[in-house]
Amino acid sequence: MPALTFSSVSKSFGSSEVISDFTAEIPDREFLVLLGPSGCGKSTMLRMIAGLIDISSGDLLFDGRRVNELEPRERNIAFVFQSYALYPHLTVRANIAFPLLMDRFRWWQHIPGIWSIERRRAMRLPEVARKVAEIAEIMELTPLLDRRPKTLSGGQRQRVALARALVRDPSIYLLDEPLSNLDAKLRSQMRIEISTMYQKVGKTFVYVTHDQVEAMTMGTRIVLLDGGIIQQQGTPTEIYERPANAFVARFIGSPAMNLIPVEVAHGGVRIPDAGILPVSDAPVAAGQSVTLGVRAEKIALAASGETDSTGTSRSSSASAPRRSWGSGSGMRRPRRSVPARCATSTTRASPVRSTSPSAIRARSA
Amino acid sequence: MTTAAPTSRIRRRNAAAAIAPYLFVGAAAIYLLFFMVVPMARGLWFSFTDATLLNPDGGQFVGGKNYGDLLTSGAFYSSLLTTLLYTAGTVIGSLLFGTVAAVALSERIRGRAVFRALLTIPWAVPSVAAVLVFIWIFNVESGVANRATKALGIGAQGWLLDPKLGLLSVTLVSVWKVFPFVMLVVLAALQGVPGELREAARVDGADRLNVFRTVTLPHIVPTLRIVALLMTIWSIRRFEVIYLLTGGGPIDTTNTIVISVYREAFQNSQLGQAAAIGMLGLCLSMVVTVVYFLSDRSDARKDAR
Ligand SMILES: Nc1ncnc2c1ncn2[C@@H]1O[C@H](COP(=O)(O)OP(=O)(O)OP(=O)(O)O)[C@@H](O)[C@H]1O
Ligand SMILES: [Mg+2]
Repeated sequence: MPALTFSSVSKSFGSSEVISDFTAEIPDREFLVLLGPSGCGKSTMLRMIAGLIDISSGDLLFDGRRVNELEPRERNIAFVFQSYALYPHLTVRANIAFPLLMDRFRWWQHIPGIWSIERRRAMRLPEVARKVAEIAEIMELTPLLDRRPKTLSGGQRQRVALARALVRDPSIYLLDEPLSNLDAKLRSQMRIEISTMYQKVGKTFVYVTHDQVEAMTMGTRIVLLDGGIIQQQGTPTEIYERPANAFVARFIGSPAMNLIPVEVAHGGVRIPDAGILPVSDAPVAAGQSVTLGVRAEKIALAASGETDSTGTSRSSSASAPRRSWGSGSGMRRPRRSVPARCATSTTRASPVRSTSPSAIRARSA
Repeated sequence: MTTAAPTSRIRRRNAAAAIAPYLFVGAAAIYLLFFMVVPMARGLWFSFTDATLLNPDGGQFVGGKNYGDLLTSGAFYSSLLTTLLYTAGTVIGSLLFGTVAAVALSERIRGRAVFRALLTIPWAVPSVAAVLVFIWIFNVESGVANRATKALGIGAQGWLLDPKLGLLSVTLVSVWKVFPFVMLVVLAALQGVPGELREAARVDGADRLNVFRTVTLPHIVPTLRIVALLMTIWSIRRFEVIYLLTGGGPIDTTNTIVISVYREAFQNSQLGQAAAIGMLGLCLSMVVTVVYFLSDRSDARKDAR
């Protein structure tokens, strides 16, 4: 349930800093996606939220309460691991039921012999059996319930891992690339399952992925990481339409945003070999070199000699040294990959003369 | 003509490749034949004769008399019982102690390397030296063991002299001597426990003992089984620790099968009788091994399901 607050959270392994100065405020019931290329520290971040590794410095707060020192089970979380982490000697049923059984475990059941009896009894409890059956049904695991993990395919294992995380009633769900091993069909199906689950339980989700489609379609909020540093955070639309820097512009969108080196001219920007694209209120003085970013779907072919383009510039206070021009419009939150409507017109000359009617925004960043 | 030369060369190479494995295995087979099969065959032959130490080859064939004598004498059965008790004690003790030590050492504690080195010492020191130290420790007048029991108010004990304590003392020393082996092997197995599994169990709400039971233990069970087999066989045949500590006493309470073979052969000079005891001891080892492999196989079959 809780709102997550990260204040300057950092993590170092020895002398190498993997996460630096992660500061973010995630309201209750958000679907937060941690997005970034491989090795950027997404799993590390998730493990810190779970309490599996210590936070080197900074504070992590659940609903205003500092949880840095809490054990994972005291944080009331569910976790789907990148490598599934199923208990190999337990059946699928026992794997899924394990968190429920642990909730019922009392210390005195450590007395040798007691737990093996108690375990069997707990497995038959109606509420346990019902929950396991329910989640198995959703994840299409019912026929596999009595199998061992090693007899399952990768995708089936992943679904067991998901089921095990979802079976409990935690307040935060942490998922580390839970769909990376599924085929396209199953992946989009599971994407819907997880989104539905999110709508239904109304809890905070933190979802790690390097797949921007997943991030865009599932997240209500995205934190984009690179090299352990937050590049941008915001809603999918914000990130898609107003990338904070060139890295974000290249990382988000398929195809990636076109980044064209241009020179600011009066009333617009001069594109080499192509002429001037009108842009209102350019943020920097004429004569400066900047980068123009244009989304491919904003470009359309126009009749020869005709230009029909408008642009507005937008300044931002972000301090990245790279200048960039962003392009975007008030379009809906993008779903899946954007159709490359103007694939044939993306030669160097044509896009200039023929931009789509929507606004081009320029920005100096 | 042009193709014949390469073909024959290939054929020759194939022939060499076919022979090579036999050459490798052959060396080992010859070694085994000379140093295992021949003595064993001779031992088997001796067990049917009344050979003595002074005249090993002059024994007369006496049929199953040696075996008959053994199987009707109480001494053999008490020796068998001693062996079983000693083996059970040593195996359970060393597995328990070794596993606990390994788990403790696999935690990220300060000075882990030092502890590991210290705990490995018993396995590394020669048995004779270790046993000498324990004979001092168990010394009735001035041994550390008795000072401790006196301080605890239990009073001095005849650790190696009291028939009630002899087997216990010998077992304790044996456990101390061999547990580092279990520890090192289990420690190696523990390195292979996937970290994410342990983390998953922690997230799922398991406390340390439950993490151990759910993740660690199942992972090291195959290792423990093979170590248990080795420990069992080694305990059945252990000689030096027992012989040096008590020589089979007090009043034969530590007289395991191996000790009685030695005594029969070299103290009573009854080579034939000793060989018969040895053969029965060998059967015991074999039974243990067969039982192990049978249970291993049925487990593997259960796992496959
Ligand atoms: N225990 C560790 N000790 C040292 N370095 C580590 C450790 N764990 C992770 N790292 C380093 O931290 C960085 C981030 O790792 P992390 O697993 O968080 O990446 P990731 O974003 O999840 O990547 P992927 O998408 O490939 O899973 C990597 O460079 C990795 O080498
Ligand atoms: Mg990862």
